[in-house]
Amino acid sequence: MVKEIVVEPVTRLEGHGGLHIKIGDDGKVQDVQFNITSTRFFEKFVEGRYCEHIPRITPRICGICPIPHHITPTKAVEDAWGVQIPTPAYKLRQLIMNAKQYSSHVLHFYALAAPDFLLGPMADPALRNVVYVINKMPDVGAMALKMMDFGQKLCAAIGGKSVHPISAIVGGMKKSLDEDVRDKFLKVIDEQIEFTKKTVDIALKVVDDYFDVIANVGVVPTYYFGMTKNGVHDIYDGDIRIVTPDGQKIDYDYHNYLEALGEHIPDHSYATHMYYKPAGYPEGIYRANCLAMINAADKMATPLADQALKQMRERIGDCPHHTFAYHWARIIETVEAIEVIATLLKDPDIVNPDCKTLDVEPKEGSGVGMTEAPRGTLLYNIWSDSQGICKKANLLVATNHNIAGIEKTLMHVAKQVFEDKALEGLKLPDPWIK
Amino acid sequence: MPVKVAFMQLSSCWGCHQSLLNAHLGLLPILPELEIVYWPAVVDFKHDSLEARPDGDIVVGFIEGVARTKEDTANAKLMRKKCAIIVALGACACYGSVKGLANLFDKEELIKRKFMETEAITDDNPKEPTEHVPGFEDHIINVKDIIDVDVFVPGCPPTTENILAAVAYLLTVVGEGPASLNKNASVCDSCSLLKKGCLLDKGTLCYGALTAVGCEEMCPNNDEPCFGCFKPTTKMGAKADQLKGMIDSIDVLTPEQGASLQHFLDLYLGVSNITNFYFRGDLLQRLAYEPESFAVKEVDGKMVLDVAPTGTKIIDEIVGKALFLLKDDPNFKFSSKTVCSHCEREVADKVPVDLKRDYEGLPTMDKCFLEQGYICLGPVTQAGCGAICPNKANAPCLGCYGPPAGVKDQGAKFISTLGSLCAEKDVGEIMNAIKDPAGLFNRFTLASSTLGYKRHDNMEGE
Repeated sequence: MVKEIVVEPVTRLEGHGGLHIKIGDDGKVQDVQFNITSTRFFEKFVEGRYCEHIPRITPRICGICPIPHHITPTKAVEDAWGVQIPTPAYKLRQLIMNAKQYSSHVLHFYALAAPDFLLGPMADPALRNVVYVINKMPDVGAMALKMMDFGQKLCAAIGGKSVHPISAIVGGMKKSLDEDVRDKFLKVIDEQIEFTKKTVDIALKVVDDYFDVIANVGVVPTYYFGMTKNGVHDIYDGDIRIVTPDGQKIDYDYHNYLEALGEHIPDHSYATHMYYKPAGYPEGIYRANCLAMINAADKMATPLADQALKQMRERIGDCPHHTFAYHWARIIETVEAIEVIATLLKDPDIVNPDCKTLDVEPKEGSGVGMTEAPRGTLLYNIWSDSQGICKKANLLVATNHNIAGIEKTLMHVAKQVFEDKALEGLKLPDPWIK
Repeated sequence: MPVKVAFMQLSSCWGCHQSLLNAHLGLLPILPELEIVYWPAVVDFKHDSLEARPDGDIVVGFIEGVARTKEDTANAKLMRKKCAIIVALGACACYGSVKGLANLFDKEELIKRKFMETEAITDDNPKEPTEHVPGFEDHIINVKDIIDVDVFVPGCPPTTENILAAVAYLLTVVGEGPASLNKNASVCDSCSLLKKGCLLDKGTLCYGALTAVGCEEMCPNNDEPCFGCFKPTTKMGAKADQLKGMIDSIDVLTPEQGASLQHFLDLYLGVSNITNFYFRGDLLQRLAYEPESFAVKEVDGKMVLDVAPTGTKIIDEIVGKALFLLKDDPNFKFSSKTVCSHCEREVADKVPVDLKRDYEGLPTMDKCFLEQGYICLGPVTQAGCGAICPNKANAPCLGCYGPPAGVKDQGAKFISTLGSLCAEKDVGEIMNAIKDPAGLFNRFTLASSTLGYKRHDNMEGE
């Protein structure tokens, strides 16, 4: 009798996912499926729309990361029409991207991930959630909420709205920050940096507590797909960098993404399986998102984050395959985000009203835009006709880059759990919340 | 006692939930009031735990999203079974939102592009996935076309304030009410006018006979009529029949009578002061949004609208008669403001310049977008957001709060608005300038618009 384990739905993620695991009579894991059960066909129904309006439709792909889905298609249309944006617009976009990165990473760490570590993996599922964490650790809860609030409010200040922003337009930004608004954020930036440092301390304590788990569960060699600007970590602007399982780095101009990326349509998931094309499928399955970004980067863009990166590399190597190190990488990116925010808030260009070029004319052609969203690299390819109407679009969205990698990791972990009984010998710490 | 709530996500982006979470520290006083029994992105309860609950066990169920997949449709039905009150949270659940734009295409076209045609696909013979996935509905289906919805909270997303107001209101609906409330007595019972001279005897409509007691200062004790703000009583007052007789005898409302009935229904059954969402149980709102949804019936020779808000015969008949009278009353005005009413820009009365695309130039912050030539859906969009896009981001309204009360099709309404604003221009010229009317004017409401969805190109034999 083949035993089937079904998890429906996978919780504490945004979206619709299920898990099917098949285990044979001999106790061997036969199959693991990560089933994504919804898709909405944005790539089709943006056809026929005004190109400049696509950035006002696609944020609805993701309510947690609508900022990259607003900025990236704007870049793609600018690429297609050959539009150059003024420096203040570039910096405003960098700022809103980092504000989103900050609030999303903090949300991910405290609301989605932390319950597993603070209550322990064996805790009662009915309690293992952020509401309970806030209840039991009110100080940490309040700090996390203030961090998310800062990021979301900064997104809203630049984007008009934090969920489904509207201020980016082909040619720049509709509006710069007002000085009095900017000043409000400057006033609390030092407090936010302190919060981030405290979060690093909490994260490092979790790393120490769970080091046995980090080092032994879900260590899966894969390729990585990230973005760097001349080798430096950057979430707004850069090119594709692929990292091989043995740590070699290969760069591609993002316009040539089809040379690097292949897409396989699985029979059991509406989210597709991406892989590194030259290596073939499934050998070339890669992972994206923060660990991939960290593995791709020669260095971080800011000093504190770079220091944190060095600390991680000293401990688990230059190209770690530790799935649990995603949380660690996320914290390093959070540090960079707040440092970039602090720098940009002090930059006079942020309040410079000269943030939109008047030199914008539709042109027939294909354009590509790429940014790093909080859950992976985001790539839009938009084909415009001569009147600026969208003829065709290809959207390679952040989470989608991880689906094959997640399934591969799940297979690895299922074997560890069901075949090797790896969980039994693991050293687990006393939970912080009992 | 915390109230049992469930949050269900159909095909959507989670943005409405994120907007709720954006309350951040503001969540702290609310969370203890809620017992969250289902919310996959936040807590670890699985689908089978929801299925295992008794029917009607959950007090409020929030639904975000539309039905794109068959799983979405099944989940909407499951929520209706398990929840006493269903809230359609956000533009998707209310009108389909941008996902409704998929209805401009056949299902086959959508599937072909995503699973067979996109540029990175390397498979020789790629196919639509079919294993452990639910399958797609032929087109986007609105939640309200699958199940009965009790509350509509529009917006893409609704603002944090709008969602918190809806949650706070629903908690009062299901709560016990103030400690002083006594539903087993009516205002008449302790009214000082009963002996001195009842307002009804003077021809003034007073609704105290239908109203529970518990207010600090009863209006009739100050010679003012009671308008029912302490909600229905279970024990009618002495003057209930007299009140019914007075209302029954009205054939055509005087302006005073109309205003009185409207004020009464607003306070007695309405979502007083919270107008940023549509609560179907608020019959005045329903009269404004969906007048055709009421059946007319005859009771004792009088025509009334067939409603039963309380289950108490006399009250339901009075309310039914009042609604019947208001339905055709030219003075009946349900205040449904548009985004323009919160916009800080100077108002336009015509569009004097050529229509512009949004990438052209940079609009000024002080003048109406339409006056500057930019398409802005403010005039045909329900208020509630505070006109964030025009006020804060120098961007025109895209229409995400849907049409205001009484407007069936936001896009059609905008075309008529644009027509009157551009009265001096050539129609053909305007039509030529707008290449994507459905995407611009029905961006958030296509799935619930008169356009509906694409049928096959070849209609023969259908």
